[in-house]
Amino acid sequence: MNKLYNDTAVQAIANAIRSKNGSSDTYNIAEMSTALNDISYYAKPTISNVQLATFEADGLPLNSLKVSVEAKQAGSGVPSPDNVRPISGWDAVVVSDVDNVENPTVTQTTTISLPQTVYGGELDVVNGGGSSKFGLVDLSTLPWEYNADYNRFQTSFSGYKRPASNSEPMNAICSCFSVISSNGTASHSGNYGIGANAGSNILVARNENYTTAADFIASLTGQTLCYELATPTTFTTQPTPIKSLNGQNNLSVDCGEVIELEYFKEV
Amino acid sequence: MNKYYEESSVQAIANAIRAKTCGNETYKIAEMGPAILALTGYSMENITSDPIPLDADIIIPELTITINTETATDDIDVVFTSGEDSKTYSYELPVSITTGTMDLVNGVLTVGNDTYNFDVVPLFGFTGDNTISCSIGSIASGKYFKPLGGE
Repeated sequence: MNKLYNDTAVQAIANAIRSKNGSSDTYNIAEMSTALNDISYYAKPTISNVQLATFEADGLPLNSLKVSVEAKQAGSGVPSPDNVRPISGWDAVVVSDVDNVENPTVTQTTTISLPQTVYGGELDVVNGGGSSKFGLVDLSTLPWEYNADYNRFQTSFSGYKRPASNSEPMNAICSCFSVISSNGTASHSGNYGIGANAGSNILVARNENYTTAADFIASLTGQTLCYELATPTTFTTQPTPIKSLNGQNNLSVDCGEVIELEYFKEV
Repeated sequence: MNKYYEESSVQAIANAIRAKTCGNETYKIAEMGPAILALTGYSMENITSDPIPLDADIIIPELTITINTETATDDIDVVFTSGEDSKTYSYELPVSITTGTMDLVNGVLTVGNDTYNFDVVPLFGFTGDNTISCSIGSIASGKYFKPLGGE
C-alpha cells in the first residue's frame, strides 16, 4: 500500500546509505533496506541496569561488564528482636550466562574472587577492581548508653553517610531493627528502631524492653548494621575475561544486577 | 514535497536500522536518514607485527602467539607498546616449552598434539598506534576492532 511520505526525507535516507557504504549507487525505496542490510560491521550495544541481560551475540569477549554487589538479608518481614534477619556480604561472585535456545541448554559460569567481604558496591568484572560503598558493624561492640529523656540508647559511631536530616533514615539495613529516622527513635510510636544523627556521629536505637546499657548490649550479640559509608573505598580484583555465548545470552550475576554490559555483534 | 511510497518498504528500512542498532526504537521517516548516519561500529582487522591503531577502551578479541625459543620456559611476556607507554601481560604456562602456540584470549596452549589451559586476562592496548611483541615468540594471528566512525 502506498502512503504519502516526505520526499526530502526519503532522499536523505538514500544519501545516508551512500555515506555509509561509500558507493554512488542510486536506490529506489524498495532497495534501501537491502542496501542497509548489506553494510556489515560490528556494533557494540550497551545494556544497563537490568537483573537479566538478554542479548544475541557472536561468541566474542564482552567489552565491559560492571555489576552491583548488594548485601543479602535472610528471612522476610520487618527486622526486630523477634524477627532477626541476618545480613551477609560477598566474598566471591558468580556470573552466569545461559543460552536456553540451544538444546541442551548451554550454561557458562565464571567466579570472581573478591579481596574482602563486600556488603554493597560495584564490581568491574572485565577491567578488574571495584568499590565498597557499605560497611558492616556488630552492634554489640559499640559503647551504647541509655538516654532516659528519650527512652532510647545512643552511641558514638563514625563512618556512615549521614542522612540529610534527623527526620530521614540513614541508608542501611539492620538484622534486628527497622531503620528509621533519628527523630523516630525518640518518639513513642514504636517499640524498636535504629537511626543515625544527621549532625553528628551518633547512632540511636529504641528497644522498649531495656533501660540499661548492659542489658541492651547483651541483647545485641551477633546483631549487625549494614550502612552506607560516608566515603566509599576501592579494591582490586583480577581482570576477568567473559566471552559471550554464540547465540542467545541470558546473563546475570548472583550478587546484584548488571549495571553495564557492552558486547560485540556483527550486524 | 510529499510523494507516494510503498509503506512496507519504509517499514523495511526501519527494521534494517533497528537490526544495526540492536535496538527497538521507532522512527519517523525524517528520522531515518539521521539514524543511519549515526550508526557507529567497528570493522574487525588483522593484527600484524606492524603498528596497529587501537582504542584503550576496546578489547582485543583474538590474539595467538607462536613460541619459538632454544631454552625451555614457562614464563611468557606479551608487551603492548605505544610511544612512551608500554604494558606487559605476563603468563605462567602449565608446562615448560620451546615451541608452541598460545591463544591469549581463550587461554589455550598447544604444543604438538597436546593442549593445556592457562589463565588469561582481557587484553587492552593504548589509544593510538600499538606494537604488540612477545619476549620469545611472534604473533601468529589476531584481530582488533577498528572504529568505522560516524556522524
